[in-house]
Amino acid sequence: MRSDNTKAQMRKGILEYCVLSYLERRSAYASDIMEALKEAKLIVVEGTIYPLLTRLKNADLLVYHWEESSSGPPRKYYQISETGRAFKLELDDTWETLKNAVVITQKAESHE
Amino acid sequence: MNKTININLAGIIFHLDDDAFKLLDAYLNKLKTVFQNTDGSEEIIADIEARFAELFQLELVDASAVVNIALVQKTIKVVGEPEMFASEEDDDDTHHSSTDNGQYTYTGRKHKRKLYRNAEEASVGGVCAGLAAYLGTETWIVRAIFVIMVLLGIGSGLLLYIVLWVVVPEAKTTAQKLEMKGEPVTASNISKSVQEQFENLKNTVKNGTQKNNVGDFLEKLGALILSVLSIIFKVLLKIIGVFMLLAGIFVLIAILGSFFGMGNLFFDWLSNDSSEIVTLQSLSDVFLVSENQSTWILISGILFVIIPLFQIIYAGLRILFNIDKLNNKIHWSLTAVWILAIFTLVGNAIQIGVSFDNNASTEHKSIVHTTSDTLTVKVQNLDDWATYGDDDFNLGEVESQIANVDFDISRSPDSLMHLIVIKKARGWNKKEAKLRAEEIKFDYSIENNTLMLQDYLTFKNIDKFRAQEVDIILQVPQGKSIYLDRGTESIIDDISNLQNMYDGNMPTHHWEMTRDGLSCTDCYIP
Repeated sequence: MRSDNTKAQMRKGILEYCVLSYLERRSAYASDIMEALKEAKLIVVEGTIYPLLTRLKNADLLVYHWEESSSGPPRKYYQISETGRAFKLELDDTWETLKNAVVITQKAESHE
Repeated sequence: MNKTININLAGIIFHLDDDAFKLLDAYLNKLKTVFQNTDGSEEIIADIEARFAELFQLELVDASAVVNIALVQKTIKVVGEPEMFASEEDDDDTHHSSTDNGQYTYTGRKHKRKLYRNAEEASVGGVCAGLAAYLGTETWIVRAIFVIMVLLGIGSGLLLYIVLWVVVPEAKTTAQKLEMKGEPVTASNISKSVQEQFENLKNTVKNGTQKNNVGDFLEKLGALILSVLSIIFKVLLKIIGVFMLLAGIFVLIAILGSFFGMGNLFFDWLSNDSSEIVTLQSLSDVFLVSENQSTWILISGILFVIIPLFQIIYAGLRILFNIDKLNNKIHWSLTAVWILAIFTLVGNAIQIGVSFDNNASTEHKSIVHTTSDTLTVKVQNLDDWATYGDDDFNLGEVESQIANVDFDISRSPDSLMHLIVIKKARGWNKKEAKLRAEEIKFDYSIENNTLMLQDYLTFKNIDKFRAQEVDIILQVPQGKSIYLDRGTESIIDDISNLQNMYDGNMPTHHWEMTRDGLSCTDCYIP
């Protein structure tokens, strides 16, 4: 079994959650989000963010508006939608559960 | 010198080296290929192109500078290879789609439905639940059909069930559970599906016999027996529940009815007159210390009886309808009230007990004149005029009667016949007891050599019942005889006689006071 695949699987779900969390409190340009995610060592390459943002936007979880940029093409500024907020609240619960699951299973003592 | 190619990236013109262009072109083509089946692929590609443009601009000194291959490589390294991030997006053949409420739903290919036992919703072996899932109907319907089949004995429903249990595998893995509830069996795939099922069953049976899986079979048999036992237990429990419920409600109605005087269900045995309904109130008036007390005893008595009854009824309801346990607060309050009721009852009992504490008596002695040697003793029984037989107590509105009379015969200290009537009663103190004793009404008469007694005494209700008693001692001189009439056995109290005859056998005989004691003159002694 390749660990890469497992890592990707784990990262994938969490990535969505992190993006929503990040955008929950601010509207941001894709590269701002990427900086944060890179800092968090969650993504290695920027390309990952684009399909993700598009998918979340198409799912009505995010909305964006254009803003002119002095240093390049106009930028899409994303922010979370009402649907996105509700969705993120659900994910909060799931995340707590998952986090606990990991803690519990890691701490679980062997029955010997 | 390399020729440069002008391209438009996100609305901005860039000048690229030939090899830089080739690399970028290849990259964007790959991007298109990778995302061609993804929703919003154009937008994704546009976004990435815009990012390229931005990154180029950041690196370039001025707008006319040429983009070389190093810059493209550097940028690609930052953004990443398409297959790298695309694989993170879509890694299998399932895809996500959004619904109206923005939630993701799984729309992967459907599993074909297969027959499994549904252990999660099983009541016995999960056969019915599994069949229901397979047939796309509700479990209780299949269960009802099986129960009816078993009851009617059609096709040996029980045998069919056991066979299915042994043969049909249990849905254990998620995939199996999905298959159990998978794609409906339609007309087009039904024959194939049935064939598959049949093969499946055949394999299971074959495996079962070839592998000689006796242990597995025994395990299933054991589980079956356990299930049957548990069902019997459940049924019994339900019956007990019904019984508790009915018994509780019946007793409750009966008690409430008698407490509130609408029925004379329990107390009419105390009354000799059917028109006179004895209520608890009139009964309590006779026994209790004060009127207040009767209220207290009534309330605490009701609580004392009703709280456990309520618990019983509630327990019955719980068993029958799986109701929640009683709220802790309510439970403890009820228990507290019940204990309080017990204390009240005990306290009042002590109070009543104390009112019986002291006894006193009055004695009246008279001479019985007779013209014959034999005196006949007759008794008027309370029973004789009581409507219902065998009454020891007759509660009236003003006066009450109680059959508490003892009759003894002893030797006269002189040659005369004496009748001693001792009236006894109890009370708080000697004085009260004495007053009460004096109030006892006891009638007797002596006429025509006959002593007419009563086996009861009468007391006024306002005097209360405080163990009023009448003892009658007939002192008989030597040589005189007594004939005990039928009925006197109700008052005879251990009269010593030479024949050592029991009280109940003494009536209808003549007894003479001899030198040695009372002796029967007409008894047949074997």
